[in-house]
Amino acid sequence: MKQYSIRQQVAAITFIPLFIMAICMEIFFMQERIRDMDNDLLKQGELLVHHLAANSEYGVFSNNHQMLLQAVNGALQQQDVRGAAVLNPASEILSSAGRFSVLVNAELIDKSFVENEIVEMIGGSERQTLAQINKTDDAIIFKPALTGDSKSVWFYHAIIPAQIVLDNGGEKEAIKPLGAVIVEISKSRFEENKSRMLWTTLSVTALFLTIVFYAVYLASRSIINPISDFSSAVQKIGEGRLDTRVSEATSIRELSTLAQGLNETTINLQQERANLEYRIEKATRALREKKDEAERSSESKSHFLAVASHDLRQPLHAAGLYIAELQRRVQSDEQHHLVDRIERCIESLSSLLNALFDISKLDAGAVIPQIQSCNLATIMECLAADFQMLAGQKDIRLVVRPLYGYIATDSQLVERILVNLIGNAIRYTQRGGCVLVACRKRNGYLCIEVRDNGIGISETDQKKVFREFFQIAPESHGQNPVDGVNKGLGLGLSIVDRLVKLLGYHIELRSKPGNGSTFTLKIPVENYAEHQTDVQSKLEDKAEYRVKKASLVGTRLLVVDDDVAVLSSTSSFLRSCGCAVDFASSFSQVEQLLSEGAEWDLVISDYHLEDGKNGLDVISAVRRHHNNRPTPCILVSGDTKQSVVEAVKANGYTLLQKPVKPGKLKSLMMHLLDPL
Amino acid sequence: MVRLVLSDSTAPYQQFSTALNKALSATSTANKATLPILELHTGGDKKTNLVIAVGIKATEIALADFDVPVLSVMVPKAGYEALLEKHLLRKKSKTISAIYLDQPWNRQMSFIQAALPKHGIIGILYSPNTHIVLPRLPQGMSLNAKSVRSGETLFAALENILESSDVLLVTPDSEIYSSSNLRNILLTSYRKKVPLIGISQAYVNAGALCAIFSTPEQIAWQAAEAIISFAQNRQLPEPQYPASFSIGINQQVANSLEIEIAPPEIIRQRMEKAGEGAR
Repeated sequence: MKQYSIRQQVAAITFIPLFIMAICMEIFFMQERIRDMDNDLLKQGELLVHHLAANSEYGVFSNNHQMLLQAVNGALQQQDVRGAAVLNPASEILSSAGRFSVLVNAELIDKSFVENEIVEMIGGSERQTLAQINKTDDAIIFKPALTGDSKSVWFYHAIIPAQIVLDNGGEKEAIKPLGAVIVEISKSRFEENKSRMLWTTLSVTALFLTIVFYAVYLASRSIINPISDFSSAVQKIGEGRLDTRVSEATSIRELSTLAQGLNETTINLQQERANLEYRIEKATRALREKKDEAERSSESKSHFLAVASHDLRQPLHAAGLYIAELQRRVQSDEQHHLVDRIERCIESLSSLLNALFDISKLDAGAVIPQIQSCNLATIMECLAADFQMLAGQKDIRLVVRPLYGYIATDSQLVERILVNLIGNAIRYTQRGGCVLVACRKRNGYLCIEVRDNGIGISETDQKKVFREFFQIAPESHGQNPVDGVNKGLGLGLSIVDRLVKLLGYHIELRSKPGNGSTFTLKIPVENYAEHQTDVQSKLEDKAEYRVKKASLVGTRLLVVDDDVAVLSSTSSFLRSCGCAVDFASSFSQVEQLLSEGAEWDLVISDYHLEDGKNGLDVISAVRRHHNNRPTPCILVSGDTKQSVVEAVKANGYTLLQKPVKPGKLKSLMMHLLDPL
Repeated sequence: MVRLVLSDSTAPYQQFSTALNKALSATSTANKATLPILELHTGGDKKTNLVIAVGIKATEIALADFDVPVLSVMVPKAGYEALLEKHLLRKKSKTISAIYLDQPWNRQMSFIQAALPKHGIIGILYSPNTHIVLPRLPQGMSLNAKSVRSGETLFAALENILESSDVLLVTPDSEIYSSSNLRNILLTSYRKKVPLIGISQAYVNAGALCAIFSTPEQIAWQAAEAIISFAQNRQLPEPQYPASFSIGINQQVANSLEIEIAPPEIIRQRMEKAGEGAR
């Protein structure tokens, strides 16, 4: 629907009736006036011919042309008279003046009499040359059509002799006209007057309407201005500015009430909002407190985990090194066997501990993926190398089909995932089976499949395998239990699940009991690139490849650790590898050794040392002493804190997490000592 | 029984009727005669013994409708004679008489002489088909009578006669002296400084200098005498002119024309002295 403003409405309501009234009155008065003017014209004409007829009576009687000429000239001098003529009874012109629009002659007058109703009425059926006059005072007005000019009007009047009553006893004689007069009066002045009057009236009306319109406009402002104020106020309130008020000072009662109502409503709204804001703030404060509390508890949990991991790993690390030393020393097979068992127990304990800590860390959100470009093939080949021996022990064929290229990911986390998957695959595959690790691109994902032809997982179990401590019972698939020693912890897949979620990848499981299982890790393909070199990954590459080539014999080492058990176990392990080992339990001892002039090819230091010192201080002291020669360093820490990791990385050193596997330590040392 | 028939109910006839009634009642009380019953203008009663017809029209009706003697009053002599002529062609024997409206020529001449002694030439205008018996003129007066010839306008004839006359004497000729013409005739005569002598008070009122005439009352008295005489011997007098007359003078016209005219009483005395016997 079309909408109008109040001003338009008000203008329409007031203006339209006024307009109609003005027009109607104008038409009415114009008509009256025009009729009056027409009447005036006729009156004037009648009077004139009457007068002329009377005036020329004697002239016609006496046939005095001079007199008649005077009479017609007198008539001609009247306003608007175009022509005047006096006719004798035979309708012949006796005297005429002015210019008639049509030539006056007997024929014209005859014709006019025939067609003129008034004459018919006066003359009756008997027609004479001059109209027979009964009503002596009547003038006859010729129709314009007969005179050929609508701009003028013709008046005819018979010259009737004045009657004098004579009581001479004779018969009453019929009155006979002596003649007639004809006068033509121009209507042009009347028409001009009419049109001037029309225009005057029109302009006066227009002026009147304009004034009215202006008055309406002024009057409507007193309504519209407050309403516009309301409208803008409402808009402002809508925008949320509740302190807006409208002025209640208006001469219109309804508007004043409206303004009052609006103001009250706004005040209420303002109060309501203040109330609400207060409550929200209160709730927010409470929430913030709760959040702070949660953060504090989370922090303390992390702290506990860090401390616990550090404190639990220290002895385990030491135990591992002692067992390696013990293995060397024992002689008899029985003792060997015993040490083997102890080593396995320690390993098992270590892995369980690692797994638990991993889960804790993942749950606590302490693990943050370090995304960088890494060579996928290298990772897979390393894994293949690591698991080849284990597979060989079970007589399982391990086939790895790597894809050459680079992915942007946290290589350590991906490696952990794959380690768990491959480990599980080997564990649950029977002797003589086969494990396939393949990598391919499919449907926008880079899929890494770990497939085995082992015991498989039943459908009900498939939903449970990613839970903590869930293990597939050997009975469930009705086959002989797999090697008891290699039984897993039941934490592998739950770690995998957490890691996959952390990285934002997907993992799929397809399996049937007895037909093996396939775990597919799906990495979005945009993370994959075929060509990208990365120094670090190359370094790692080489490190992995050269493990077996070099020897550590004769290498001078410094081992620093504040834990004496760790220190001694590490030292003894390294000595067994043919290294010359100096050891220090604190920074001061290192300084002492340096002051004695000791020099080392490699430094292995615990990160946390006594007296507020750390591994970095040791390394810098050593390097200073060695005239800034870049002595290779390995930092070892049981602390999983990100700050520590970052501090070490910032200095370009290698950090190993406790417990450190002797093999890994050895290979890293060889890599650092012989970078090529 | 006498029946009165009026031509119409205009003022002069009404005056006549009233005056006649008055006159009859006055005379009847003196003579103890039978009272005549007067009825207006109704015909067909056989008991009527005498009809008094007032005016030409009434006379015509009376002649046609009544078989009794008729006394016609207030009729011009010419008109009465013409009517009588016409009527006598049909009915031979009929007792009829009249009292004329117009004055006898002698009286008129005598009047002019008495009133306007210096105006000797009297103009008379008459229409072509009428004939007038020219009167015997008193000493020092001449008559200038002209008829309006065919093809000539009244104005031309009028102008012609006015050129050669001292006064214009109106004749009871309705073709010339009509209501319509009178004003123009008066105007013309006024322009020519020729006074008009009328034949009734109306002329004097309209602008004639003077007039000699008989009033309806005067005629009524005369008629009453005739009725009484008829009642006594069943005979009507001969048609006669009015016995009494009045004189009307328009002093204003006299002033305008710069004419000295004596008052009516003086004129009457002069007329009597000249020998015109009148009451």
